[in-house]
Amino acid sequence: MKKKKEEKNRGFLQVSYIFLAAFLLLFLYLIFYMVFQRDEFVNNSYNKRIDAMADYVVRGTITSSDGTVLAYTEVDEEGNETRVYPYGEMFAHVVGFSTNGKLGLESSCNYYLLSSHSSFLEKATNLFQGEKNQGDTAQTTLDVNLQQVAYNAMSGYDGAVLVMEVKTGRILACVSEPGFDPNEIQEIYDELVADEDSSALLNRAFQGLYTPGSTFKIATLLEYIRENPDTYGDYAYTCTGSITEDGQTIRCYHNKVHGSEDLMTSFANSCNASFANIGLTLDIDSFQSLSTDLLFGQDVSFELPYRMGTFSLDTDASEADLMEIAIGQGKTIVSPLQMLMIVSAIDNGGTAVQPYILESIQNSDGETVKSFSSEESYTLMSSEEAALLQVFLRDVVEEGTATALNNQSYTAYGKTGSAEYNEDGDSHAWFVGYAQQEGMEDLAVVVVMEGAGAGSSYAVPVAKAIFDAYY
Amino acid sequence: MAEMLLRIINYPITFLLLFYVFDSFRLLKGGTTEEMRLRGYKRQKVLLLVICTVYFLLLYFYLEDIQMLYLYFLTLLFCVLLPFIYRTCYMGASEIMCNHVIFLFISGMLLLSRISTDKAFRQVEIGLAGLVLSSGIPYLIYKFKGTFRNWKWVYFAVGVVALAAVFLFGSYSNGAKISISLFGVYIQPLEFVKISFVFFMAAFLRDCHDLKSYMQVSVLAAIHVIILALSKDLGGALILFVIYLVLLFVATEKWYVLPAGLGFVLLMYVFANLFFTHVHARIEAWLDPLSVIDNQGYQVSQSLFGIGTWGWFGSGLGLGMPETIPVVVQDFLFSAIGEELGVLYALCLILICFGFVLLLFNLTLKMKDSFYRMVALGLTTCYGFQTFLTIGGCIKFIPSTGVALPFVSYGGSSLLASILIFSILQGLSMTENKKESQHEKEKRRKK
Repeated sequence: MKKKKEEKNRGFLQVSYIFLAAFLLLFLYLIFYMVFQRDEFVNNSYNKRIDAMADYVVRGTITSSDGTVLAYTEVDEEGNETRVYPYGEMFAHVVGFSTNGKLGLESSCNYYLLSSHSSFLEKATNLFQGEKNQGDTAQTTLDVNLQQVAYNAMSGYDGAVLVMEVKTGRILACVSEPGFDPNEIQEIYDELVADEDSSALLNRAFQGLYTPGSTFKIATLLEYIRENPDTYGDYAYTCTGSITEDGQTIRCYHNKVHGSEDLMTSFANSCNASFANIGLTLDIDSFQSLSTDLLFGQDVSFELPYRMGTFSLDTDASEADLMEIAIGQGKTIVSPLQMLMIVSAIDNGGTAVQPYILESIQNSDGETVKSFSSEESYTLMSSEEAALLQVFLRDVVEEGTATALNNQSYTAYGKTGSAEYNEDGDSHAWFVGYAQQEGMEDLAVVVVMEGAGAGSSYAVPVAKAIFDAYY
Repeated sequence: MAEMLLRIINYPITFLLLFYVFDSFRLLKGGTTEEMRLRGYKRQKVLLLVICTVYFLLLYFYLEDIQMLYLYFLTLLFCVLLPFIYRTCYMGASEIMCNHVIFLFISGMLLLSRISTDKAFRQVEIGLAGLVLSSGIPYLIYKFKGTFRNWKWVYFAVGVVALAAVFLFGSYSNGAKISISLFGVYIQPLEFVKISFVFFMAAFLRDCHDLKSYMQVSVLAAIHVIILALSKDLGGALILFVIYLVLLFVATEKWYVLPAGLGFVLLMYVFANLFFTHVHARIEAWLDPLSVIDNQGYQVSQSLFGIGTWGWFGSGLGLGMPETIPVVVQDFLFSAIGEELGVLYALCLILICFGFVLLLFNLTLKMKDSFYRMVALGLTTCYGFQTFLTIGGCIKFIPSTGVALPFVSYGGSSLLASILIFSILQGLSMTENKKESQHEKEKRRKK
């Protein structure tokens, strides 16, 4: 009789075990969310509770990598809080502001700045005295010195500068012009938003989209090498200053005649005619696929708003289109962030380390609460391809358009660009490249100056100033 | 001052609640004497009284609203009336089960009082009315214990007619038809159909012996589920289906029933995902709510924001922002509890719900009568599964299904039905005990 009862109960017991498992999973999942996921999840602009946290916490400071304060909150005797930016316009875009909506790090670190990990004793004391806790500090990867150099070197031109440690992904400087003084944001905000011409609130370093001009020849070169792996060394061309095909004429910069060239000298001289010639031979589908490798139209996981460029080549593109695309004109656009990742990939065996700006979060006593590092990397090309491109980029410095960077304590690599954007021949000045020195980090630099003119004349000196300051 | 107290009171209260939880499980085990148990239950009652009083008082001082005190007294009345009916009038209800129901009701009432006093009053008034109305049920069960098993077609008819009424005359809310207005009051028949469905299944399964009869039951059950699916109340359909599955599994004692049923559900979900946009939206919202936060992901995102922003001990009652969660008073009240009373409190709530389910299973196992055993199992499954669905949906463990948390969530039909289920289960348990004690008496007399 008892056995039958046990058997009868078995079904019931099994069902109760299933419920046990279900509730246990529920219990554990909630704990899992609280321990692992909630910091990132909760830090979202739709979460109005974070701003409510400002009732209990004084907004934390933002510092450079060596602890120099870039943003802090000043509290007067009556308890009024003012956000102060000691460096004003210099760090305007990357540090951002928090009072008229949120921009930059003030936005991405909002939750951290309004959280407090002060000691328990301090928090309890504050609670009983009716005072606010001090918010945590956000330490960035930014280097004040390099930022200053880059900012000054831009000398009034609009555009962007990005400086990054190649192997670690740390962004050391980020300049975007035109800028604004964040200390005055409450007064000037409406004006800035209404001004459609200057778009001063846009961080051009991450979100600016420009015609790449000759810097795009890196892609064209890579594509040619991919399509002609055994014969690229035999390439020869005689440049007469221009090339005409399909009714379209492509001229070299200032109609310069480069004479007879091979692949390396074509690249070093940034010969438009030669590269237009190369462009005519390229396979469109293969080129399209290369562009995806080089992050066109792709997503990366970056903590601030960004854009990646677009590359569109129809299968029925005309020869005129092909020539233009090959020299980086036409409908192709890139962002400085994207170019930064491309050149750093070349230096780093074909892999671009994910750039990042937030280094760590510390409490008001300086103890580290949370550390960050680059979490992803992207393979843009093979290491053999990267090694090959390194040689080409070096030649640009040794014999080509960037010789001002030659013979320094550091070894520089790069590519200049003068991207025409209107019919009058005005161009953005570009430099993309990196430098190395024994015992120090490799540094990647991207400079774009709107409407300045030739890359070698304007952008290269900015890069030189940065490299000189660092090495 | 009141604000500061509200912020810190969660710490000691959560600590006390841990004792409550600890007692709940410790006292279930063997090796405890009757006396220990009684003392433990008394301790629990004191704890619950403290929690209720402290929070309502603080709310009164913080909001400076006299209604808080009225709500306090009404809630207290509920907490006193429940054990009065079930332990004093009927002697035999499980004291700890009463404690758990009181805990759940108080938790819900605290949040409701703070979010909307109108709804809070409604909730407690319906609760009190429900207690009074259902107080006769255990007696009815005892008196007519033999007859309930014969009404299988009645249960079927009631269920199908009620669901069909919603399908035909109900009003849409959030893409599904779940409520119907009767004499100006909105009720959700599904809550009561859950009960009739359990009785329907138990009554039919009694007479099932061969495959043909099992198929008949399945078809009849399917009719319920299909009407619900047509009304787009997929949460309700899921609950009825699970009840059907569990009861079938236990009745047939065939191991493959459960996995087959699970497979069927998954298949249906895939199917629904492809053809019903609102199911697809729910699944998208579950997988990555932040990516669709300005649309279908908003509710779950706000729920997780609320739970996660303030840490383990919550923001403090009245100091968070639960109103940013759509439908917070019903399906997502659990999230509001997690936000303001703390995640640790919410975790304890999960444990207490689970403890409650264990007690119900215990009760089920003690049933000797096979018909009532099935009924008990069905009602237990119904409560357990619904609780799992609600909480799971709040914390993004599963896609949200639009069901409420029994005894906690706002909703007249939900509260009444939950009280009814509790009442029926107590009735069954006491009938069993009475039979047993009579049995014992006879045995002793014979000796």
